Amino acid sequence: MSAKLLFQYLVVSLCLGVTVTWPVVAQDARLDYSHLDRLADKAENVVDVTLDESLLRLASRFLSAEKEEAAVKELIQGLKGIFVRSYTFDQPGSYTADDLRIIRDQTNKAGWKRLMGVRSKRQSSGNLEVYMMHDDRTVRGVAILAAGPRQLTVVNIVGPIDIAKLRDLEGQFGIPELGIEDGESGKKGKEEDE
Amino acid sequence: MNHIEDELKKTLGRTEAPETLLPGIMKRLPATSRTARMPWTARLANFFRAPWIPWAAAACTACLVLLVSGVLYYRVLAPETAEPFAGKTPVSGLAEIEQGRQAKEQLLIALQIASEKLTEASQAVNQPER
Repeated sequence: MSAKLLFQYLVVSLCLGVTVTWPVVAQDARLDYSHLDRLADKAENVVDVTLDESLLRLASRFLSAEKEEAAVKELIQGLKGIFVRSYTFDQPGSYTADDLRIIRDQTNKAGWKRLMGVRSKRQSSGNLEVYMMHDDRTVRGVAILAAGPRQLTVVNIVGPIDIAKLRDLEGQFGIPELGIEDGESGKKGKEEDE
Repeated sequence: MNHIEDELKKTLGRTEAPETLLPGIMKRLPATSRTARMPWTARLANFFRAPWIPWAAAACTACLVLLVSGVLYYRVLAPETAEPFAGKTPVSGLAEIEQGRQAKEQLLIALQIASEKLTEASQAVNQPER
């Protein structure tokens, strides 16, 4: 095979490789929960936080160097977005199982792992699920789905979250001891699965 | 005068080319001119036989490798160490200050909600009998 032909094959293979691998590289942990928009009319109280990367940068410039805010500043470093949607209803049954399923389906995709799932017998608490997207080296996002009879909350943090830093913050901002150790994220969480 | 005109007309007038002219011209044409009559596939193949193609291919390959490596580095390897807020610029303008305050407030609300839910999950995991 001539050198020219080899080069041509190389270029074509590289282009094909980039085309095929690009979507994998480009995927992030952003969840789409726009289907929940319709619940705003039914809800008594809605919290909708949408902080993309630029807003996170802006917010970080307003965080002081004091201990607690400095810790937040460090926590959000490198994050691509924090998205929260929380609905409080005055009566149960305001959202459907499909609403939850659509979110769960997204966390069933490659890269996502269920960190813990709690089904509460107490009516007020409902179900709580924590998902994490990660590759071999870094966490790429977290999703929390809390579904109670009168409350539905979705938290979606996109970007690399340093588990050690998160552990260091435990207790300072109400961030609890999760029993998470580096690289052992999924193993230590005791799971009361559905 | 008429004689000169007649001579000119005779000299410049249309005459049929000899049958051997066209093949002769085609033979003398350089190879590149003949490619115009080739099918597009043959012309494309000829294009890739140009001497500069390996260098161009090498340059393209190098660029693609650099691009892919850069993307992989910044998306996979760098986030742990990258300083995303480098190049901070001072906040300017009242609107930006207000937007920044709102963003900070939203950030703290979001972290508060996230931590509350994580607390609930942690408590449930640590006290499964609740």
